[in-house]
Amino acid sequence: MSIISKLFGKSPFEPLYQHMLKVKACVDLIRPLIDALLEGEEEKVKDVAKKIFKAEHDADLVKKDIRNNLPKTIFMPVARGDILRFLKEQDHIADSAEDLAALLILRKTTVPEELKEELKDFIDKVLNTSELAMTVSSEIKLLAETSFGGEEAHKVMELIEELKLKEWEADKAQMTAAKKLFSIEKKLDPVSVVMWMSIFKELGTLANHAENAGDQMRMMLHNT
Amino acid sequence: MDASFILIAAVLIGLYSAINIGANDVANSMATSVASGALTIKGAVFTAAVCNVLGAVLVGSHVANTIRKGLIDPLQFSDRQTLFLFGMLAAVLGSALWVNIATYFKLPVSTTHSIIGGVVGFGLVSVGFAGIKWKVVLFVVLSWIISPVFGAIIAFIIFSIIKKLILSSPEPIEQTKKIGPFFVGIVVFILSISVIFKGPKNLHLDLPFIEALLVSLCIGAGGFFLGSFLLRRYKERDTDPYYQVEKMANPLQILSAGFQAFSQGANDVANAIGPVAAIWAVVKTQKVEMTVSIPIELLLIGGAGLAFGVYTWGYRVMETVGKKITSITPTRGFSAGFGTATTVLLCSRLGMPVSTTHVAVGNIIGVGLARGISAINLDVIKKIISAWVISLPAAGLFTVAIYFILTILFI
Repeated sequence: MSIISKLFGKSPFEPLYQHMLKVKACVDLIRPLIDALLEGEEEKVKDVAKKIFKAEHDADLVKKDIRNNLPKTIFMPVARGDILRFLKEQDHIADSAEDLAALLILRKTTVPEELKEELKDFIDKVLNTSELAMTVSSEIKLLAETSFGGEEAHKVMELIEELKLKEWEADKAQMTAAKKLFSIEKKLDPVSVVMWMSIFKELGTLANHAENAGDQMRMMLHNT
Repeated sequence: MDASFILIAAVLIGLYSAINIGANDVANSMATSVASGALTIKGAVFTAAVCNVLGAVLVGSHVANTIRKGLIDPLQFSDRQTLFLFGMLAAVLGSALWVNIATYFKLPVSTTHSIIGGVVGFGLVSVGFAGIKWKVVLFVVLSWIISPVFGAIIAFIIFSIIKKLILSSPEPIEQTKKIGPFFVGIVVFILSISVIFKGPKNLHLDLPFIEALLVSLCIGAGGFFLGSFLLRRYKERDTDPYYQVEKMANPLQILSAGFQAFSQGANDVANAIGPVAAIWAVVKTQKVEMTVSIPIELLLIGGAGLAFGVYTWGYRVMETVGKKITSITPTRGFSAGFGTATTVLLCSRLGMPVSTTHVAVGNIIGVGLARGISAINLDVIKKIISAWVISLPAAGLFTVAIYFILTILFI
């Protein structure tokens, strides 16, 4: 076999793109999950949660595969550490979605009428953030094509800036929702309050990881 | 033993080496084109075969002369021609044997290193330490270190230019139409000047520098306009412009692949027929001559051997290699191919027998350093260096053993 073919290692960028697709599958299930919760359909919540567990597992498999194929002797256009940290953050998004789903099937949770509007708004903001993170991530193949520089990197950089803004909006929505929760605390039993705080926290964490993934992507860009 | 018998034996072994070289090295020039889809395997094999023959015939004599008379002065053998004939025969046979054994053990050895090891080994035992032109040997060994680095620098620069002017631009397609023709012109210019500047006398291609420069500039300009004409005809599609740039770079990559196969033919034909040419000169003139030039027929035989190897086993090599490399696109393939071809051709013109594979590896790393390649296994470098170091003494020892056997049997 020619030495030339041995010289080329396995590119991590196509698998990173595949990983993004798996994480996106998790993120895309959050809306149906919350819709089922809002409508009080317990069975459906369980159903969607199961799908999220499966999607998260798929993402894990791709993550493992990428890590196994990145020995230290491989030379890439971006630092190996940057790729691994980006992968970790992106994977955390799926983990958060999984944790959220787990919380919702642990205990039968009903959404108090007064909280519905704030919850919907919060979910919208979180999903805006994570979906934008997926868009940023989907550029990885084109970035590799353009050597992580130039016009393409510039475009991605602007998306990352926007991502920061979205995450900040998600933070604000979380505050509003939490305030609302405490304003009706007397009506709720204490366990429900704890439960809602956990749910909010998990959603906030998801948005944070989405932002971090964008920040890690920024570490890979050059000349911008 | 009859001298013409030795010549026939040497031609056959040389032909065998040429077939081996052709089969194994076709991947260096063509694999990236096949992998990126610019060429089918059939097209790649055909292009490589034709370009190998052309390179061998038009530029092949320089390196062949180095092997024939550059390392050991044949005049030292004027009163014992048979020893010289046996030695050169042993060198082709010994290095072919070593390359085969090394290939069996999956060592990435270079045919070039082996043949030099063989000739020097024979020189050491026949005329001793003082009989070898160590200055030439030193230059050759230095060229083995410098050529991959030099190639890497060219590939780095070319890909950086493509990156800066095309891939970073907001209008990559328009930029390709502007920049692409220059690359075509440069390739054609280098090819032309390498052939006609003091080229083969028998083909009347031995122009002096100024004339060769002027003619080559004209031919290069022709390449520029042809490239410009072809690129302007490109119609934009719906896909992302960066992928379209790669599509547009397909012909450029094929051009550089052909360029690479040409320079490979020019350099590698000497590995097969260098010692044969030495034997031929003795048989032809019945004395050890310095001035006889290498006949076109011999270069043609070597070139045909390379082409035959490409056609027979090269097919299989291409299939496996092409499937394995998917991460290289036409812009990268062009950069690496251009750097490799230019370096190898320059070395060929200077009479330096270099390892085309090592130069190709250096160039791919050069593109990688310009952040052009997704993943490069740096492990390979270690393997190459160790095979490099083993090759010289191993091929030398094989040659010496065969040389002694021949002298014991026939003298």
